[in-house]
Amino acid sequence: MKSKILFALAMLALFGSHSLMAEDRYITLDNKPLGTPEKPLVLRTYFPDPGLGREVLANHDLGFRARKYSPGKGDVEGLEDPIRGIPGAIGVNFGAGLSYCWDATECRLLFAWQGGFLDMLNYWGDPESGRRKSNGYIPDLVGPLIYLARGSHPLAVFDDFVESNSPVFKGYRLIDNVPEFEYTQGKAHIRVRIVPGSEPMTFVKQYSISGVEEVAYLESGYKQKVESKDPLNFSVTVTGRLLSESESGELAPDYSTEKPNLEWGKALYTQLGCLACHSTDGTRGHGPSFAGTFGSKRKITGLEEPVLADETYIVESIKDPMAKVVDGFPPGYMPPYPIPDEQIQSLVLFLQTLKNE
Amino acid sequence: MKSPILFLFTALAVCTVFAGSLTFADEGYKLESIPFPEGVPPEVGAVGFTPSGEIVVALRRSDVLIAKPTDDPTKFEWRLFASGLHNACGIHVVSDTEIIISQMPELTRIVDTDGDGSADLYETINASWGMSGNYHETNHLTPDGKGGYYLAIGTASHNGPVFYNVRGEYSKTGRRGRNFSAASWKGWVLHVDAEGNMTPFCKGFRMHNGILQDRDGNLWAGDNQGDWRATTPFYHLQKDHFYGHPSSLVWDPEWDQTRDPLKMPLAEINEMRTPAAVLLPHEIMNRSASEPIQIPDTAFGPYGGQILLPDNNGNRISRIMLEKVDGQFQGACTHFWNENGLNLGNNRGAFSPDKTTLYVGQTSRGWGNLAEGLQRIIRTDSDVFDVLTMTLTENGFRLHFTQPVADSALDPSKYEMQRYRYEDGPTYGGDQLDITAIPMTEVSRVDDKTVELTIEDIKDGGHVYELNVGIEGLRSQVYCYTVNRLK
Repeated sequence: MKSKILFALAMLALFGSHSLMAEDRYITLDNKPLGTPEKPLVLRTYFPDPGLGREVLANHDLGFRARKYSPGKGDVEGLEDPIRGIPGAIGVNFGAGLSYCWDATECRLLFAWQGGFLDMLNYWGDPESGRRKSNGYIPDLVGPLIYLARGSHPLAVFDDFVESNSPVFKGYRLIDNVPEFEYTQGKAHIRVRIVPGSEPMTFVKQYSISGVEEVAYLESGYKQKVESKDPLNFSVTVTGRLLSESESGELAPDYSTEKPNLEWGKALYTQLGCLACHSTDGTRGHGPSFAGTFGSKRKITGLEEPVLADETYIVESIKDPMAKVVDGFPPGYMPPYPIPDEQIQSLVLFLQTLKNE
Repeated sequence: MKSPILFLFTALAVCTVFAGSLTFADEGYKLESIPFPEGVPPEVGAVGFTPSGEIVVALRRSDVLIAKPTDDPTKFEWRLFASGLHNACGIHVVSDTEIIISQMPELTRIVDTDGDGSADLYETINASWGMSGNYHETNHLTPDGKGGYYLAIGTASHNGPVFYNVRGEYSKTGRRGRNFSAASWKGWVLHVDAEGNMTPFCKGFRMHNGILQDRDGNLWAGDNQGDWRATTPFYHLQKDHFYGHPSSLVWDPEWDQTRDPLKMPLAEINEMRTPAAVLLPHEIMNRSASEPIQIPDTAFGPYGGQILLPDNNGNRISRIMLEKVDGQFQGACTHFWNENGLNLGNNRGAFSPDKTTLYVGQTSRGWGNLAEGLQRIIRTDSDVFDVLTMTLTENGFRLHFTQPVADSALDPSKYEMQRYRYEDGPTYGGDQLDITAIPMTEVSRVDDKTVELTIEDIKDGGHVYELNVGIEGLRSQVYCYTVNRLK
């Protein structure tokens, strides 16, 4: 009898979540669209170039500085520089845990990040005016990079003993809502699908290849675990890590990173993508607002007594978000952030400025 | 013509019933606005219909929405068919489960293979044009009737940069200019056959934001007023022809790559170029032509077979009246719809399968001020009084009306005509030149619906004859005929 009730409850839960999933999810005026692990968001758009090398973008041509031009006068004083962007890539977002950018020109994963997805404001414009940013309309990544491609394509295909690196994109098929990209490289027909791994900051590339006898897979710089059924059907689990700004080729920060400080904390709130889910003005997001959090009593799922949101609580919530989930919010949404203590302390200083007086 | 008071009453009544949705009436037609689901930006990149009569709308941010049209314009039950597309601006609906989309990077076949109502296959048909990274490089498609497509590939704008890393090939020479062609095949029309193989078709475009193969197999595209476009043109597209915007020449395999097209003498460009079949005088008629739409034979009123050309930068839709003179198309234009409730930003259009209703999609986001939306123009049962065709004669023009005209229409003072010409060049837009008043020497009747205007000394070579007709109750007053060739 008891098991029947449990079964009914389980069915109800399944049905409930199914009807939620079946609901159409449109792209709206919200410039920070997000997917979920069950229903990732796929979006083809311009992407920023967070410091990819020429070996990675080997099949792209180079844009050059150009002389300014006036339709009335012809060539005029001044030069126009290109900007850093990726023109033909596809973004996939699984919620706060994982986003990646897969490029349809190079036919490879370019970078992955966590926290949020994209801030489309530069490109889609302000909802009121619709104005894109005039010279820098590339969307911003929300959250820190955990993987950035380096070197030549990790998958080497040998055609008559000559390595071929001129992939041709064929499209993608959604399998359980996740795209499986298809491309050819020489005689090889390659399908690859990338999903979040079971551990934080990991993802799995599932390869299925035909048309050739064998391929070689090699990529350095990240911990990679290859599991193969046979030489042409294998999966690679990549363990990412939070990339420092110098690694991703960004400009030096204008705040100190010597010891914990408030400015650093403010910057991390954006850089780590906290802002994707936690507001600072009390607005409800995917996670609880930071406004008034510090020093408050929190109702925790599964606990009788409210818990004081002190420094210990904040540190735990960053390192192990599943330890205490605030009542009314979904568990498993936030990925753990194994960041250095100075960064955590800086975030604590930032949260302290948002406490209720 | 409905009395203004009655019209006002109708508008108010409609306004009360469907909060926020106004109906506007014109002689013979009514116009309604159609909302999308709450919060969805109505930035219409493309519109089409399924064989079973559902409307398919590609929005520019990502999504393709489908709904069964309802009599009440506010009751469309939208659902999501596909998503994730980069600025989809061309659509061909193949079946209830398959659409073809042209988006910024490629031509894509999108299929719902498992019949659950939402697409799961996004197959690249062709991606042979480049992407400089410039925001302006949108495109459009028209089916060739044999399983392939013609594609209009727009140029980049100097209101935005290019990227360091370019998809396709980059041309330093093509990068120069106001609207420029820095990446492969910008400013061209390409043909992609049923197997996905691309052949370049014709070149010399600035922003041919819309292409149409008509029912007779003729290909048409407008362009936007700007550099090398003194006013908005409407072109008959022919294989290997050049249409006057020089930047695209750098992608011609025959082009001498040491030459800069922008430094070509104007006389050489004029020698090479094919003139517009019809010029649409700037501001008087149309500011930025978008998708040409052919009017169905009957159900939409008297204009069957003619082509409509929406204004992407105005609340108007132009109507094109074509004839062949000396083996080449030329003709006139007038307003099909002018203001009267129509939004700005008219970008795409499609007729419902029952051919009674024109759906018009609007967007300007990222190019100009917001002018986004979806509207429809429905044929009503009231009569239309209009000039159906304006054609050239040896001594002037012939006006064929949709209804018999009274003898008062033979009064020459009802017709004011002036002639001018345009000169395309590197500057942005161009003035009307050599403006000359053209007196009517005679107005005579041909039959009960047709009058003939006689004038002296008709000039060819692209002269525009702008005619203002002062006949009571006529739907449109202004008609502009472009004389390329004499009869």
